[in-house]
Amino acid sequence: MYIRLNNVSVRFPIYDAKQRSFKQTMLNVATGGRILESRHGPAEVEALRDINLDIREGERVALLGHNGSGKTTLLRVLAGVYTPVQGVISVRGKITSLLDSMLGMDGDATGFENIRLRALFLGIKPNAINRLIDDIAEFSELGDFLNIPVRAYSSGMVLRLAFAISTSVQPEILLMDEWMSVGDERFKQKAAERLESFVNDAGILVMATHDLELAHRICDKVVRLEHGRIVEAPESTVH
Amino acid sequence: MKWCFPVNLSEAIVDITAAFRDRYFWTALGWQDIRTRYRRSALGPLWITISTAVTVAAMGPLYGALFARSPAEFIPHLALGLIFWAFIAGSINEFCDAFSGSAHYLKQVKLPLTVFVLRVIYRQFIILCHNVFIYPVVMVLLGKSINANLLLLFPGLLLVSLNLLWIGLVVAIFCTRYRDMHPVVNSVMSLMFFITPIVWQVDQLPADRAHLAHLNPLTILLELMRQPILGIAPPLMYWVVALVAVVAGSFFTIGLLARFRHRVTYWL
Repeated sequence: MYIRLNNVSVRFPIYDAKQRSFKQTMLNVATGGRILESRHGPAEVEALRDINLDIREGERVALLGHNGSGKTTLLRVLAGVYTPVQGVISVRGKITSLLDSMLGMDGDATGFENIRLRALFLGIKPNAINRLIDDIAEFSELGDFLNIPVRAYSSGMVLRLAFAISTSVQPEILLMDEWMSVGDERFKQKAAERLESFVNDAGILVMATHDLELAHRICDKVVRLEHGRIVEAPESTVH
Repeated sequence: MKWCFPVNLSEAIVDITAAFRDRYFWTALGWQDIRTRYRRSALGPLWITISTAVTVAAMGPLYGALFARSPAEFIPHLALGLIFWAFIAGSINEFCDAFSGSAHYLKQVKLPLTVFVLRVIYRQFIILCHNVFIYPVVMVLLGKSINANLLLLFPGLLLVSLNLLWIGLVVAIFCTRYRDMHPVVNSVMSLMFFITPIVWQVDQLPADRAHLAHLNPLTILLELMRQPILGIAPPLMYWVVALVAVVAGSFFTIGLLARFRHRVTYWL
């Protein structure tokens, strides 16, 4: 199990209404691209530049940085969502990405339906879901609420359900955007314990956070990003 | 797992084969779509059947009289035309949102894009299964019968679905990149309703204009599903055209996917 990135760069095209428009594209072709902007293509934002990373099994890596430093983009590259514009990424191991713990929550669907729906995106096959449902129902303590649409839940209840589902399968490589913290005092304690054992059992953890103290408590490696570049990292992690 | 830029053919092929391997994925999503869409209505998906039945009941006698056709001949043609057109046009219209409507998933997990196109087709297929129940009623009321040609419906449906799959990938990629294409696709499909023999029949055209109806590929897709139920074996030409379209379309689409698959998430 490993993650390896070689000189990975990611640039986002910024489309305005003009580039989004098919008519405009056709006109540009017809006019031989005389409009200046069209000759240069859409403006680009460089989100990541020359990222080299080497993460091995058992490592816990924290990504630190300000807003817009590229933490989430880097997690999305690791998840395979964004293919780098330059560079090579190779990943061995099954990825579980919890970039948004609300992924796939459908307000009109019931709690039970949401469990099945979200489980799909966590890569769980339907025949394995049944075994997990009891565990999720019990941990979330939602009882009969699981039979009514999530729309009628309080925001705390939605978070509880999302949390219970997200932490129900043992991940190989776990990608997290910020630490999850949910519920009232008592539930928070229970959730914190579950999350810690969940994270501890993962083969690799990569977590983006602002919280330096948390990073040092949970992770053994800290990678600091600034303007899409790695500015600080342990020797072994950056090759 | 290894990928680099610009992407290769294998990514595109893996995208399609993975979607077919994980059938449970899009069938579950498709079912869920139907369930949520009709959750707050008392009759649920029966509304689909009712609204189509009302359309047939209203248009049947009227247009039958306009075209001077007997009800037993015209109404089955119209009913099946509307039912299968809803499948084709409903799919093509909803392909526009196939990726952008699932942006929150696609931006978090790497998933085959084909899954989201198959989800639309499957959803429309469920609606088709609801609508098709109108036809036995029409048959009984008008004393129509079916024959062994009905079996041709299954290869017909398969060919149509495979064509919808590649059309769906093309439309979905295109509409994700160019946001103003969605209303264009919708208008084109409303226009196609009038120039496809759904309400009217090809033999109403003067003999020297009949070929115009066959220039419209949607005519062929529609007839491959309608004629078997009417007891007619679709002509060989229709099968050949539909098959050639699947093969040529698939090659084109795999090329498109190989070139743009990795860009789609950037456009969302």
